[in-house]
Amino acid sequence: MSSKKPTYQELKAKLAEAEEIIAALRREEVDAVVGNHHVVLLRLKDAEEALRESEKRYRTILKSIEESYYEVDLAGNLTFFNDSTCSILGYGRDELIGMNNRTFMDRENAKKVFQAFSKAYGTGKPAKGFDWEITRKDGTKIYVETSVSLRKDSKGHPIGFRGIGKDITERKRAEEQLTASLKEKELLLHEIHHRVKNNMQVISSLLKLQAESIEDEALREAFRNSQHRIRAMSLVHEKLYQSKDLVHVPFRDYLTSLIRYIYQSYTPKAGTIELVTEIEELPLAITHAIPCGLITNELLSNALKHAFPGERTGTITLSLRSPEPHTYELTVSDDGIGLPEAIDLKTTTSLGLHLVTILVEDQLKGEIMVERTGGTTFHIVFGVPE
Amino acid sequence: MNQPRIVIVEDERIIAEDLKRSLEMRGYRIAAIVSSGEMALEKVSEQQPDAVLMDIALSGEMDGIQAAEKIQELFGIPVVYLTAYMDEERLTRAQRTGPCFSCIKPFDEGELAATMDKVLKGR
Repeated sequence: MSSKKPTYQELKAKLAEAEEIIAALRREEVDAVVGNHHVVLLRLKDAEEALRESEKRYRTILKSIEESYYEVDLAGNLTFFNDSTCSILGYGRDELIGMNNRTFMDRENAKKVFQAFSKAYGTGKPAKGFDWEITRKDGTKIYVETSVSLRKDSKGHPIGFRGIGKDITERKRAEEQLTASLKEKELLLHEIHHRVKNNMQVISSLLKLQAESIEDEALREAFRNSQHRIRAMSLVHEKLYQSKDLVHVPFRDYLTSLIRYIYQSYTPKAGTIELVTEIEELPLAITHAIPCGLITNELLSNALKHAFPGERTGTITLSLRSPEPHTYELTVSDDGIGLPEAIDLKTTTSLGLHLVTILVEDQLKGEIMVERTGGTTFHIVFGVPE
Repeated sequence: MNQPRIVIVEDERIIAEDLKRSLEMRGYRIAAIVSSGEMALEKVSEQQPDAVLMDIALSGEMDGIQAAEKIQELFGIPVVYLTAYMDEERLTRAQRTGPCFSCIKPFDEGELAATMDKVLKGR
């Protein structure tokens, strides 16, 4: 099949068509470029808008928060801060800008601030929880709890610090009041223990003075026993007001003083009765210390009075230990003549031993056991609260 | 030999009475019993005793250590402190007043007499 050769007219028409296509294509390209620019511009506009929004948001936050937001240079001069900073410090914005932190605090607090800044500078890590005492423009003192972080420029070089400060004056004052009140109560408690001890001493002196006029030896002895019982109790108050812990009696110290007092009161002939003590350092609440002291007083007095008649010599051993947690064992033993078999702790008419039994069983909720071999040994086991 | 004369400074009158009788039984004479540091200075000046038995916690402006300091300074008379306890601060203050003798309250008669004997022997 032979093809027909195009005419000049036809070729001209085809060329015009091609030119039109090229022109159209060019138009489309330009439109596309223009379109791209438009997209970029739109995006930039959006970003600008977002930035403005974000700036507006953080300015609103800084404006509305009660806390102070501050920025200082490396020397501690304020370079930027929110309105709360002005109201907390009591200075106007114009006064505050460029002001050094040392202007509104004493030397001691300025030192604390310096240390906090140095730490943030050295570690690069934010530090928080500092309580600084600040002097406001009107001279009033306030406490501010502050955080500190290091500020860096775009190249990462330190340029200053920023942080948040909160006025905690009210909380601090409440804490101070609470501490003062606690201290006052402690002093009061000390004073009460002192007064109780003094009053007991007066009672003891009264009994002693009264006993002087009594000729009957048994009656005098009864007065003396009462004096010792009062002394055993007053010593607990004495040890409590001397100690920092107003709840627990330092029991080794207490027992040592009590034993010394009882031993001296009976003044055994020199070298006749040896006293051995093995007392662990155990704390005891007053509720347990007083009965324990009274029991010791009775058992030790009994041993001193009855275990070694005439010229007999021997040893009294007193020990306190904790064989297991929250359990104490008090032991008073002597190698004297031994407790007569006829004496039964449950039925005894001796006031001293009766007191021991009721104090152990009813007050300490403990148990008492008596051994009568080679003298007499009283084992008292009782529980102590955690 | 003359009985040594003592001034007792103690603001609990019953305890002072107890002290008086205990010392009298041991051969001492009580020149006066007073309850404050100020009164102690007055009586010591007037009576010129051989020794003063001084409670530390007293009624009045002066405590026992302050009164003892004045007594030592003005009259050079030895003082025996009577106290429930002698803490570090009290001991340091008491030692500054001169030779420091003390008896722990509630007092033991034997210990009290022995301390008094020791103090008076030094005079």
